[in-house]
Amino acid sequence: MTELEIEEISVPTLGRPSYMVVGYPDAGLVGVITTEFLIRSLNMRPFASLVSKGGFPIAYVSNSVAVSPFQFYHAQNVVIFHSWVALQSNMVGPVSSKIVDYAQKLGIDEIISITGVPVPNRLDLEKLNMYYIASDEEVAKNLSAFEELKPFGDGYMVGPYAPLLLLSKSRGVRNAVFVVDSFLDIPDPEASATVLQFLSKYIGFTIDVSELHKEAEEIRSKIRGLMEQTKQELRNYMPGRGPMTYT
Amino acid sequence: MPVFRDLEEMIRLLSKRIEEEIRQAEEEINSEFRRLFPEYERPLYSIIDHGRWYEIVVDLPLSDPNTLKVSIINNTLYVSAESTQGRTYYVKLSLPTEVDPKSMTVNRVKNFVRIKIEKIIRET
Repeated sequence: MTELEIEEISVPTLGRPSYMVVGYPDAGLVGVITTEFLIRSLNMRPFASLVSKGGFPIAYVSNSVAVSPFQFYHAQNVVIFHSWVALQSNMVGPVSSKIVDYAQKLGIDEIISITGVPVPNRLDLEKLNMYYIASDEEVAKNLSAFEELKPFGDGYMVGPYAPLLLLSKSRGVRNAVFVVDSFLDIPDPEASATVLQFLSKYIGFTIDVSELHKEAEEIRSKIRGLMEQTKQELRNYMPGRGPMTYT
Repeated sequence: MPVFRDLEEMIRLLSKRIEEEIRQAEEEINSEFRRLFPEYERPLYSIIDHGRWYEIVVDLPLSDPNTLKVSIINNTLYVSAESTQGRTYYVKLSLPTEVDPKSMTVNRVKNFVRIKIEKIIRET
């Protein structure tokens, strides 16, 4: 059993309402492209790390200094959890559990998850659809008021955001999941830009997503390695470890 | 991870193990290729099965469109391109079912390369 701990450099003072945006590597890397862009744009600083007592087999190196690949950042009323590596399937439960614990400790009002729904005609879509999935009916009612969002309806969620949603639900923490049309195994900065546009309205910050559109090719080039790693892990999240395709 | 609309969709994903084995074998070949020719980079790609035809989307960020080469030999698709930063993208993909090379179309959409190839379907 992996024993995880939160190591704090400082404790942030949060404005209200407060949000924790979670960026896990997942379909199209939509979540992590979004959180990385937020970290840069809002000049967010790391204030805590998720660490393993036994040590993770991988470290993130920032400015020549090794840190945990799981970092918490803060600015204003927003905390971001950003994972710099793909989560192994046996880690998704423990990591998500620790995130929900920490959100409760910080008094976070709502956890926001960002993921993609792979669509086979993604390349032909000019306008990407955004859907919501909620941890409870009250969150769903709140989200239904936004014209940018459609209810997801019925379906399945597999992978790191699933335990986060269910653990939030069972511990009474609000969790809003924003799902956007995306590629499955190609990084999708355009899908992230769609989420960011909405997120700025939802949370209440100003952000210029035109930079993200401009940098799209560079981002895709830079995070190919993470996409390859994530692609392998995505298969492991599926029961029976089948391949992941659109068909 | 992605969300899915129905259980059938999830099951379809699980039923394609043979394709996966082919791809894994390909991974090994490509990995060996990378070891021998480290200057090559393998691009990310998606294979979408539309029933009677395949759509292959290849991500070649910062590539020069004039250097793009696509061919099919013995049911294997070869794609290469030079990046504007001096890298060479190269990938070879064994297609899971027999295809008609003459039906292949290649175009660039939003800086991605889209290849469409019809399957050869033999009536029984």
